[in-house]
Amino acid sequence: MHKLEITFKIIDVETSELLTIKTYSAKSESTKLKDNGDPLPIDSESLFSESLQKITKKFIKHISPHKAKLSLVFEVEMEMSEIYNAIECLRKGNTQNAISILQTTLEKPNMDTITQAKIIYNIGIAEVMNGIYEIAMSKFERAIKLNPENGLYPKAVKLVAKEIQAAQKLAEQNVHTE
Amino acid sequence: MNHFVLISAVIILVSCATTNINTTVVRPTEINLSNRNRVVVAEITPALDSLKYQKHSVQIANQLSAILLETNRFEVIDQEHLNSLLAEHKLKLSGMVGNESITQLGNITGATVLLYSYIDRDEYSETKTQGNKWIDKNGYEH
Repeated sequence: MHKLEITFKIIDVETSELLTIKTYSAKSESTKLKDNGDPLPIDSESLFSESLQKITKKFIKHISPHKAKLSLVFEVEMEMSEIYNAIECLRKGNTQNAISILQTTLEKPNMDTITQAKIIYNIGIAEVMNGIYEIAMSKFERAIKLNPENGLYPKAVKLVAKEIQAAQKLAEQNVHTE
Repeated sequence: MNHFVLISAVIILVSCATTNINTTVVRPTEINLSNRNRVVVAEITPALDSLKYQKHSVQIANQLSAILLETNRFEVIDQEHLNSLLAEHKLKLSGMVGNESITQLGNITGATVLLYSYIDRDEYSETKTQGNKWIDKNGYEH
């Protein structure tokens, strides 16, 4: 097993101000065995490189904007094929098409409020994927009004509030996302 | 009764049906270095004074420079260029502890930030564990 721990200090050269100090640790191990059950020879240097990569990966996230996966919950209505078409569009990255499908579905007559809430919530999810957080927030709030019993909607409000904060921080950091 | 429970369960499941969709987002950094993008990676003191640890220090510095460049947000002043600049001014990076020296470093190199790293731990160990004994088809114990 290799254990590595590195402390990073970033100093502003103009002001000598300590901007950040962070310590990261990582461990890497090899448990590979031969066919007879004996351990295979271990290359300690490759374990060192593995630990170093883990640490630098963590460190770079601290100082440079990075991509992350966001998992969104989409509500399904078994009797509505339009919802499945919208999901298909979202999975292909075509959020605008998904939103138009959902908006057309919403215009159907005699729809109960629970189904309306589901569709509006789903439009909100598509807007999150589009990066239009203010509209997404208004959709989630409307879904809550229509169906206050559904626990997904308040969670979506919290999620979008976090995304709004992140977007503001990115703007402060001069990071422009599509 | 059983049918009723089953039907109710199906209704609940159908009414709660959801699916997950993944999307990629950009996350901001913890510290804002947007206006400070010219970096000097300081030489790293080895954990111990041996060839192996000296090699590790160089590897760490190189890996840091490479990963900083990969982001396309930082310009890294390479060690060779830095050493020649310091030699020109008869300076040593390891001796730069005071505010004035660091400012001087900025003036000489045009750097905006200095990245100092310390190896707190660099340990390798092997542990042997033994599983339960077993007997092969010939009756030998392993």
